[in-house]
Amino acid sequence: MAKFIGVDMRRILDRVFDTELDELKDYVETVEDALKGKLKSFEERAERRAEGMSPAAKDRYFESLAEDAHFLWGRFPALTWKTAFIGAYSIFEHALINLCGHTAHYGGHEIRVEDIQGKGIFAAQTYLKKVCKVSFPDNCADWQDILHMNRIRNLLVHRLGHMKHGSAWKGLPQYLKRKAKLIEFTEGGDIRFLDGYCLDAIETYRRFFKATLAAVPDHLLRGKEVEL
Amino acid sequence: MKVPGITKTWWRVQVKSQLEELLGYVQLIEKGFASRLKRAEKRPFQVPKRFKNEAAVDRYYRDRSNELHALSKEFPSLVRRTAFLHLYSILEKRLLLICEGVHRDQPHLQPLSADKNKGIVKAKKYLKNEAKVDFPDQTNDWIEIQRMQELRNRFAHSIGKPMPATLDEYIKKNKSFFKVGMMDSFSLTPAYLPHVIELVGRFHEAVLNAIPDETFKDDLRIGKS
Repeated sequence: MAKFIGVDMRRILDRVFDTELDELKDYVETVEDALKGKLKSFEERAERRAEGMSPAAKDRYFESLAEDAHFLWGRFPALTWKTAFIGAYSIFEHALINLCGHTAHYGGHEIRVEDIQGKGIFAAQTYLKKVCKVSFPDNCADWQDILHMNRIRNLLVHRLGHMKHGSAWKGLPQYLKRKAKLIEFTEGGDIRFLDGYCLDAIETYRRFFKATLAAVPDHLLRGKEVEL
Repeated sequence: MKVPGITKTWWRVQVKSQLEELLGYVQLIEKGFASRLKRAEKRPFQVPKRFKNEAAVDRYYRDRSNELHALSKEFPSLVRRTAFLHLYSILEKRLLLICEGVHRDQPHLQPLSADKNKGIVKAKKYLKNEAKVDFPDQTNDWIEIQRMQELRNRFAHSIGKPMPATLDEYIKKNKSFFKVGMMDSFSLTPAYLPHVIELVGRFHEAVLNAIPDETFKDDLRIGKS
């Protein structure tokens, strides 16, 4: 009787990816929470100290605190979201490349993902489609979003989130419209993440990776069945 | 007509505030994790009475130890790693912006886009070879910046790939900045970010100083009419 005695790599890859994204999500939520707590105590302390001041002195006092408050409610959460977004992209890219390594191993392919022209997720896409004949789910809406996220990530990494005037890519306005309450560009061309975009991106990666894993045939993700 | 643009002085202020912001951010978040950890450690390991079966008790212990691990190791490591990536972006973007400023002032030079290199190497080659700036690449800071580039590439793209020998040596040599684990794994210590933030500020200053004043007349114009 044929029995599978190998490792179910699909399950392992899925669990590892899930865990990594969950950790990142916990991290973002913990930092957000900590910043909110810090802002609250900052405001309470300021109110306490301002008690008894004249209205003019109070105004001056609050004005002197404005920059610190802005860091706590604006700049630091934004920095957390942007850096975590870059981290999530790395986790996703690594998971796809790693998946290619396993499909190469189990499928017995001599060509490796490193031999493919292109980089990162695009090399993985080509490799899985052309070499492993996987029906890579690049027709789905999540992949289209990931293409936008790839460009946003590149903007953050190479241009600190600043887009030169007139260099918007095709489909960006529609993407921004769909994610209207999550991400926007300022008039000066700087990306602005709003509350929830980073977590939305994490869930997009999660869904897409699961869809990709589901598209990989069994023989490319686990050892052979053996006669016992 | 020449309009007032961004002077070297203003440029310095901007870089300084970006670096200070990042340092303040890392320190605040790390402090936040530390105080949460302290609170979590003080909470006694006591299984709530409502947890009747063994599986629930096991889950309780696992969740508690996960929480302690996250606050003591995982989250601080994540904030350092992501902040480092952000710092590297600041360095790269600022150097490339200087190149763009140089080209705006000397339009007869090749545009920056003509160079096929990327990032800090592109900036260095442009300033050194095209703009004939005395780029500070014979310094220890530049050597360390090259290691930072390898580190950044490792964090961003190549976890799992063989470690470049130069990076490996850098990590092993700087025990106060890196905690080495098993199989090429390592994490950044709390001392690393302040060190590299200072280094980036210093190097940036050296690059600005290397740009002759007579070329810029203390005016790196970003906006021109």
